[in-house]
Parts: sequence; C-alpha cells; structure tokens
Amino acid sequence: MSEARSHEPKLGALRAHREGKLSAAGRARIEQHLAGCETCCEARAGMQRYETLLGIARGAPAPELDFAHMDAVLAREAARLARKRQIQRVARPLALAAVACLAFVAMRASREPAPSPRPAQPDLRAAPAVPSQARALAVHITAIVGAPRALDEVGQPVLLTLDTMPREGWILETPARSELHFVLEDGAALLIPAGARIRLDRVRPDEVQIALLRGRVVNAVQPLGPNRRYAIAAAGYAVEVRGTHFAVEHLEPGLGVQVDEGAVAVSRGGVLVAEVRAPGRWRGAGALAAPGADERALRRPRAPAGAFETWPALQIPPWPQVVGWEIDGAALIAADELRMRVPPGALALQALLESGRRVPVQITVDPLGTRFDPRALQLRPRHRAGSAQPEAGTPDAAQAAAVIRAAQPALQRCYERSLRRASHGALRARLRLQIDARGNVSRAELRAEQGLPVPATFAKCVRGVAQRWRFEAPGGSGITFDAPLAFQTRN
Amino acid sequence: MAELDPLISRAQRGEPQALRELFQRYRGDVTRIAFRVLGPSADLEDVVQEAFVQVYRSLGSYQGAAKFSTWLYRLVTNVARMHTRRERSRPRLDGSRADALEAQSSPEPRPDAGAERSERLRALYSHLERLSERKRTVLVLHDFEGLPASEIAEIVQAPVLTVRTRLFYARKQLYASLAADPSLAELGRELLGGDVGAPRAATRDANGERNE
Repeated sequence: MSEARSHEPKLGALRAHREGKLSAAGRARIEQHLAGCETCCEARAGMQRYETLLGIARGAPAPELDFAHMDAVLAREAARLARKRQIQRVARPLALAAVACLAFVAMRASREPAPSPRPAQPDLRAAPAVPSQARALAVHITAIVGAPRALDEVGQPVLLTLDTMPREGWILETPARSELHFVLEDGAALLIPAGARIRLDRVRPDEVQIALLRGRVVNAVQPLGPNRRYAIAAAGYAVEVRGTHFAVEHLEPGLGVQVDEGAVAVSRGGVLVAEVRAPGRWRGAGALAAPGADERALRRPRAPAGAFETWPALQIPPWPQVVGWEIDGAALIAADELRMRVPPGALALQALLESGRRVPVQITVDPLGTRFDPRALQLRPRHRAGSAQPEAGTPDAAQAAAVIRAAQPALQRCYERSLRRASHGALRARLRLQIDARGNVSRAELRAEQGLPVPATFAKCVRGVAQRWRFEAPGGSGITFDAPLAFQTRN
Repeated sequence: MAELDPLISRAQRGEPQALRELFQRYRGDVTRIAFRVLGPSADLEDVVQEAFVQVYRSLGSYQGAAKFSTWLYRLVTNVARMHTRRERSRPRLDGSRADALEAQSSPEPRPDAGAERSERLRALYSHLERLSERKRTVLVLHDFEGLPASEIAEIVQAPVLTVRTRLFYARKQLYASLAADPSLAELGRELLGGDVGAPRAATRDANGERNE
C-alpha cells in the first residue's frame, strides 16, 4: 500500500466496509487505514452524510400540484393538436413545401443583425385607407385605474371614463400608476398595464389588429374561427393569435411574448419567425428579457359575462399598504383611483397588501354605483400575536423580508439591466435603509460587501426601487437598518 | 417489437380522451421524476406541464422498441434539463438571504420533523447542483429512482460503462462536497452512534459486528 499523505480515497473499500461485505481481516485493514488517513476519513464522512440525506430524499413525497389546472391546459393542447392533424390531412402535400420554404426564410431572417433602435413603428397596415365592409366591433372599457389617456381618430385628446367607447384609430396610453381594462364585442379582453401605448388599428369581426407602440398588453382571446385574425404588432413584428391568453411586450428595440394558454405565431415582414406555445416565453432581436419576468402567471384580463354595459361603477380610492385589488375575477393595481364596472348586489373583493397578505371584504354594490372606502379594511400596523416586540431600531424582520421579497422582481430587473455590458459574477451587498416615522424610505444606499465596487447604474436603480417601499410606521424619529442582498450570475 | 399498450396507440392517434387518461395515469410518475431531478423548486409545476405537452407532441415517435417508462424518463429528464439551462442563463436574485432573514426572526419555534427534512433536502440539492448535468442525472436516476445502470444507459443514450463511470465520479465529488460543508456537521454527529441510515447495509449488532 502506498504511504503517500494524500491519495484517491478508497471509495470502493469504504463502501464495502459500510455494507459489511468485508472479511474480518479486511475490516481491520480499513479501520487501521482510516485511523491515519484524513482523505479517506473525509470521504467516509461525506458518504455517511450522503446516505442520510439520500434516505430523506427517497422518502420525500413530491409536492401537491394543481393537476386540475394542468388538465385544462393539456386538454386545450390536445384539441389544438387534433385540429392541426386535421388540417395536415387535408393540405399535406402543399403544406410540406410551404413549411420548408418558411423555415428557410425564417432562418435567414434570424441571422440578420438586430434592428437599430429607433422609435419602432410597426411595418404593417395602419388605419385602413379603405373602410372595410364589416362594421367595427364595439369596445367597452371595464375598469380604469388612475388616468389613462386617449387620442381619437383625428388626434384629439379624450377623457376616458367607464362609458367611453374607444374606436378604430384611437390611441390609448397608460401613464405610471394607471391601468386600463377593456373588452371587445367578440369577447376578447385586454389589460393595458402602466407604461403602455397602443393603437387600435383594426377592430372588426374578421380582423383585430392592435399596434403596441410601447410597453406591454395582456390579452385573453376567445378561440377564433378559420376566417378571423387577431394580431398585435410591435417593434416590426406581428404576433398573431389562435385563441389564447398571452402578453406581448414592446422592449426597445425588440419584442417579448409570453403565452399562458394556446399559441401565437410571431412573424416579421410577413415571414414566420417563431411559434410560441403555452407555457412559453419568447423574445426577439435584442430584447433583454421576455415579459412577465416578474409574474409567473399572467394577470388575466377578464371579459365580464352578460350585459355589463349597464352595470354600475365601483370606485375605490388608493390607500396606503394596499397595492392591488382582486374584484370579480380581475386583478388591478391600486396605485391610483380605481373605477370598475361590477354587477350590482353582493360582491366579494380582496385587497392585496404590500406585505403579501390578502384581506377579503364583502360589499353590496348599489345599482347606481358605489364608492368603497378602504378605511373599512381597518388596516393597522400590528405585530403578529405572540411575537416579541421588535427591538428599537429593528423593524419586524419578517415584514421587512416580505417587502424585500416582494420587490425581488424589480431588483432583478435592476441587476439584469446593469449586466448589459459588464459581467459581475456573484455580488453580495448590503442595502442600508433609513425609514422615517411614517414608514417611508427616506434614504437607501447600496454597499457591496467584500469591498467590491457596486456599479453606479445598478446602485441607482436599486435606490429607486427601494425608495418606493413602505414599512410599518415605526413612529418616533424613524429607524435605520441593513438588508442583506445577494445576486448571482450563473454561467 | 412489442405490441403497444392500447392506451398509447389511441393517444398516438390523438384521441383527446386517451391523452387525458395518459395524463392521469402518468402524472404522479412524471411529477416524482421531475421532483427528484429538480429538487425543491418553484418551477416544478411548469416543468411537469411542459413535460406532458412534449409527451403529447412527440408521442408519435415512440415505436415500442424500448419500455414506455424509459421513453418517459428520457423525455422528463430532457425537459428538466432544458428548463434548468434556461434558468441558469438568466441572472437571478439569490433569495436565500431574504429567507434567512425571515427564519431568524420567526418567533414560533419550528421543531417539527417536516421542516427539518425540507431543510436537509434543500441542502442536498444545493450540493447536487454543483455536479455537472450528466453526473447529476445519472446519480439521481440510480440512487434516487433506483434504476439499474443498463436502463439509465438507454435513457441518457450512453454506454453502460460511461454511466457507471459518471456515477462513480458523481458520488466521489458529492462526498467531498458534503464532507466539506460545515452546516452538515450535525448529520455526522448523529451518526457517531452507528451506521444509521445506510441503505443496503447488512445488519449489525450493538458491537458493530456483522451478523451472518
């Protein structure tokens, strides 16, 4: 036997020893070796730990998944495949040639350099020069948060209310802290989150085309018949739909698509570039990240059933701690005054708080309209029953962690943006937060641990995000505390 | 060539009811396999759903030459691998610190075995993640799923000898990595009393003498 200090651990022998497969003499030899060999002792320790952990892993049941939801998604996929098979059976000889041609052209298109960033006007038909024979579909606004803006067909500003009916040619825009939900007469529902700008190019029974000029739009579209088209145009691409739930985001200079149900076809200049099926995300030409990086499942725009045009309006003013509302199947931000069409009578709402908590509330909606005062939620910063009073200077750490965790998507975006050129590897940092008496962040400073520099753009972005946070009011002169953060790049 | 299970034949023809039954029959298995490959992960549901979508789409390629389970294992490990690769290439906020912050502050004691098991499972998978994909897949299929090397060879489409080699090096690397982890020291202490938890160990009496 070699007397070398360090050597390859005798794994085979160690295993045999543990399994009791050695003779008495063999056991004695191994045990004598182990007495003097650190390498093999370490290996044995590792082996023991592995075996314990393996036992736990083998016995661990898989978590419960939402199979009912999956069943529904898969059923749609199965139906889609069945339809595709039907079409292929009919059109197979032609289809083969067409597919080959498209594939070739699409590959060429994707090798072209990314388009230079310039205000992207979609390379598609704009407002129709020749009016179509079919009349336009009605557009109903179902919910408004804050003050979205609109310009009509001739460029005049229009004040948007729940009774406004936008038409073809209109431009709709959502500034910060505003949101717009609307439905089309054929049942398609759209959600325009803050920071977006769209133009209703065509709103016809046989064709809907929306130009996404900035930001993102989430769509839930009823299954379309063979002669119907629903498309979003953005950044030179067209995203065409076959009965789905999906979001398109215009990310200068590119495009992001996220599909939750069904499928979309993405084409550029009339050439098919990608088919994105649920669950799927796709980004094109220079876009940094696909949309929905901050939401695993898209918020679902809702198409209210029934004659909702006659429903009364529910109004809810913004309220501290409340970041969103779930009302009648729709999810809305609570950044500003909210107005929504709801059925009269009993209504169940849920307030979504910063801390992640949800507060259910039941109200009765008057047929002539109702204003709900969030004071009724009776939110008050309170400690969890039984928990110790936090020390002076330390906020309830769990609440702080919850606020920071809720901001993970925003912090992630800061990190992704700052990585555009440089690569940072792992970064541990400390975010020093100064909270004033009311719970607002008065100061936020990011320092890297280990003496590494923090890129200035990244620090600035994180500061901007942190300054929007709210914590439970500490009273007095406020407090200062540090939150550890860690960022990693995996290569 | 073996005759195909009638359910699979019907599913291959695209009958929606057969596809649905296929999902119901195999969803437990697919979930378990994905869970074992990925470890505790928020993306398990995504991966399982994506796996079945792929099953539906590529069922036509299953000819019956190999066992259906082999085909399914291959598909699920591929989907999990693709998913992991996609996630890896995006910079991520490491949430572990925020979780640690909450864990420290939680006033209610959590001594229940379930929480401790979860912690250990997470620890194991964080070590597993350091292995290369190939080594990790082979290790999980062999040690966690209990598949023989010959079947693993079919699943990963490599020679049996290669599978055994990967298994050897995977274990070696894992032992070293686990031994060097101070947070697992208590595991070792628990074991000082004897060979607790060793799978396939022969029985030993109190003196550690092997029972024949």
